Amino acid sequence: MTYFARKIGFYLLAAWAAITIDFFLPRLIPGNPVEILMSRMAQSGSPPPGEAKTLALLLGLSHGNLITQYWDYLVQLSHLNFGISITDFPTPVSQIIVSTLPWTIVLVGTCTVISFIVGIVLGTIAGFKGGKWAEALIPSTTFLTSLPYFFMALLLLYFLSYEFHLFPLNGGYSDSLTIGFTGSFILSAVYHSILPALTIILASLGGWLLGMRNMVLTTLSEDYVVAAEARGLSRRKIMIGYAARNAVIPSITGFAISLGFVVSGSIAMEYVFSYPGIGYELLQAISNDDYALTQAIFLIITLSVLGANLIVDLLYGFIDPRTRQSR
Amino acid sequence: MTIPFEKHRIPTSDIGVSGSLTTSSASLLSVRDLSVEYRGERTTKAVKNVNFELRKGEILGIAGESGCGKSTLAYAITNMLKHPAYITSGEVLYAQGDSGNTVDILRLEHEQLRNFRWTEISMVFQSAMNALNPVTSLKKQFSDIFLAHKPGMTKAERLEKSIRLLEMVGLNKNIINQFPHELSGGMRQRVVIAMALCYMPNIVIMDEPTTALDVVIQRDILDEIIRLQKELNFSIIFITHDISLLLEISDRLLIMYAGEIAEQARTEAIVSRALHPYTNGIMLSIPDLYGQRRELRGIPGMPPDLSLDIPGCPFRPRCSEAFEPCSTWPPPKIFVANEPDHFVRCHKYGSSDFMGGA
Amino acid sequence: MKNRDTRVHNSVRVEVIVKSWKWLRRLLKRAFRSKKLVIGVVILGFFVLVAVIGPIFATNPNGFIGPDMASPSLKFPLGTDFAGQNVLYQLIDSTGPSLLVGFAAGALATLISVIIGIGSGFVGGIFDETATFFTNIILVIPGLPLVLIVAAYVGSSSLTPIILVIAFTSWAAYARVLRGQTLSIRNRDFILASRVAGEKWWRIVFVEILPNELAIIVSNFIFMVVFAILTQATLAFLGIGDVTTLTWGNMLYLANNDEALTSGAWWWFIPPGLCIGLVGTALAFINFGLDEILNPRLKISAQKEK
Repeated sequence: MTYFARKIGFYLLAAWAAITIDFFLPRLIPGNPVEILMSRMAQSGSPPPGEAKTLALLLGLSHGNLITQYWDYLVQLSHLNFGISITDFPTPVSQIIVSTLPWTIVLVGTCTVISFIVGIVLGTIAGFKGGKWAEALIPSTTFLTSLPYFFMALLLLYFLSYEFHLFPLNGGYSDSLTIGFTGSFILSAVYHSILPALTIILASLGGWLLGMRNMVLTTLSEDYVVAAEARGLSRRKIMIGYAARNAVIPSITGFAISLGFVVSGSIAMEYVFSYPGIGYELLQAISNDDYALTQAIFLIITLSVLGANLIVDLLYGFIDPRTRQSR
Repeated sequence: MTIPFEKHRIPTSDIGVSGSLTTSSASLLSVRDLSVEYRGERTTKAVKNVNFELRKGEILGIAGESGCGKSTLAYAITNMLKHPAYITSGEVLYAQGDSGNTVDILRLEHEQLRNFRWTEISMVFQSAMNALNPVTSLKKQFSDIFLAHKPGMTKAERLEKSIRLLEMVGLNKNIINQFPHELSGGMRQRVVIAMALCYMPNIVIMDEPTTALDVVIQRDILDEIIRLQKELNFSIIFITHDISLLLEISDRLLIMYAGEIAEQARTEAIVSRALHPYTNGIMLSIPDLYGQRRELRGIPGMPPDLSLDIPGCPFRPRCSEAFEPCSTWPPPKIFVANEPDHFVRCHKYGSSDFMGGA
Repeated sequence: MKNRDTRVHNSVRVEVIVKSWKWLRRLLKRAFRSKKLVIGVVILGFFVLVAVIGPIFATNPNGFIGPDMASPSLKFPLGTDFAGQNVLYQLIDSTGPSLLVGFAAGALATLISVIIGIGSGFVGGIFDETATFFTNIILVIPGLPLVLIVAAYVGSSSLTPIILVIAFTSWAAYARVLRGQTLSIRNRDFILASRVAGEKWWRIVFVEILPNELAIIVSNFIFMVVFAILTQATLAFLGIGDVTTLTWGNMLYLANNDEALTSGAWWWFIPPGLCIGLVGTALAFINFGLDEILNPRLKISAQKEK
């Protein structure tokens, strides 16, 4: 039980750290961000009353000393009021996040799970069976993992969409449809997501595969695997219950790092496909100097990643019984 | 680290009773001309033309320094060797049941071999601390063994049998739901022994089963092994570098050096009249609790590099009694006339295959 | 007398030279046994060579010297881009800066991870607790979004800020590895012995601990170089940071913006991507090769044929 309590405590502190980083970020902006934003809003239309104050609180640039500013910022966050976007004036930032986040979470989440499972299974087989084909797999997967996500996306787009017209060029769904839980919309969304999904899976699969292969090779010479063979257990049982079960542990402890790569790669991937997710929105916000939107998206992405890592860490507690009682 | 071997200190009078080499009780396992090599940049001959028999209900000790090939031998007997180790010659004949049929373990394949393992021969490993899967409970690991050979057993039967085995080795049945890391080293070793007895096999191979434990626990485990062996009457091949331990528990002894059997004899014979200079050397390295004080000395030098061709006797560089033929001719295997299955591989006792009586 | 001294001295020197030559030859012989290491070194060596001597030949990569979007020909082996610039020359001139960012950021990140990792493992106590907590926080916060925002806010026309930002966000994972390693080494007999013997702490760190972790540090460095090259390429591709220096990521940014895909100009965007992939593969192979030499278990399975 202490393991779970410790983990939850750690992630709460990590979330606090992320919120604090977020508070300090706008200080890197040259000039007065609130004035810049207000004058640009004035060009696009009339900003709602009190918007200047909201922005000042949110960007941590209200009146008073640092501690008052920090407190004001926290209060502002707790109201979930992230101000108004100038990228899509006058839509509230929170509304933009609500409309873009699900696209990314569903896509990245599904692909990460698929890629993890496929990578672990192939890595186990490659390590356990060995042989020529497994050896040939190493250079090709290494090359695959060395390609940047966005380049993978460009290649897929060029060959499968431009040359062979198999998939749409960009977007998350057909423009002629309205968003909703209709059959045609879901079908269109799935169709549009095939190339983005393929990008993530192809680019991240190799890492899981190679890591797992090496760990399986290491566990194969462990005494408990040799002992299991002497006990006459079937090869299948040894491979899954003894070798893979132990070899997967480092992949899970290293999950946070790997997820970081996937999230980073997905931002560039969304840019290539103009995918309506939160990564693409972040890039637009940055290029439009939309400080409020940028800040909110950074916080949301970070908190989502922390949440995913927390879930994996809790699962890890079940997979490795040794963690549950340590300290 | 000393274990008294009082009972063997009493001079035995059975020397010279019989000149016959035939065995008195039935042979259970017969290893013939077994050779193993490790292939790599240089080939290492780890086991060379080893022959021995294991009889029903006996404890056969195999002693030697680390690297002498004793563990490789154990793995070879159960057909467990993997790349880069290869069996280059020999057979391991196992007398199956009462039918008198023998099978060559080295020729068993896939399912046959898998079914044979653990039901006929089980093993207790060198580092039993690590022989348990760290991520699953003991219950699960016992279950795996039962399911591997008797898939028809029900869950309740498996649990009941596991608990019986735990109790048999002196453990509380409550630990069945625990994980290996929750047990002490001695408890883990008892669990491993209980697992080895799941199917009451005829042979249990024990490779340094007590080495990783502290002295007091070693004693307990050893007593437990002896008690179980007496009760259940299985045969044990007990492999260790600690000859004093073997002098206490084993019926017969093989002394291995550089992949060969340097001397084989009944334990009493080794105590009263060890023939090979190497055997004498390791006997002298044992501190004597009951006898007079004597100089304790190991054998100077190192065992030879087995990847090189050794002309003559492999022990020659370390042997204080070496003389001219030792460096040129491989020593002959010399049987001792009046001691049943006592043989030695040494030039000192002549060049014919038999030497005179005591 | 003096004459004899020099002769003795000379013979000692010859012996030292012969000995170190033999040692080097043994080392090389071992290295050559790993095919992966050799392949990796050859590929990386090729790119380094191009980076060093390439610019002598590839003069004026930004000159508008050819027709727009010409496909590969003898005159332009990799064709031209939308403004008639020679793609091959651009590719050659991009090699240096792309590698430079990778190695500089990798080296800096390695240095940080060594200081934090070995420091917290060696010092222990409250410093260790704080550093470990800090490291773990950095580890779970995704790097690229932060790097993107900082790089965009700070803005710059040189590669230096990019190098700094990449280095300061990527050291955490390896600091954790090194801390674990230091903790285990710290309690080994020979370290305890030198502590008891009153060795100076810096001697223990530099003479006893650091050499024992060299293999891990080198491997970490190589991975961080790959990571830095990929991150820089991503940032440049997204148009963030220095957009004036020619790098592979920058070429891809221009190609993507100027419709290389829609006009079918594969010769413009595929080569820089392949270069990134090849350098990454070469570095990974060097790491695998070193691992094979140091960790025989992997090698045994590589020989296994079934």
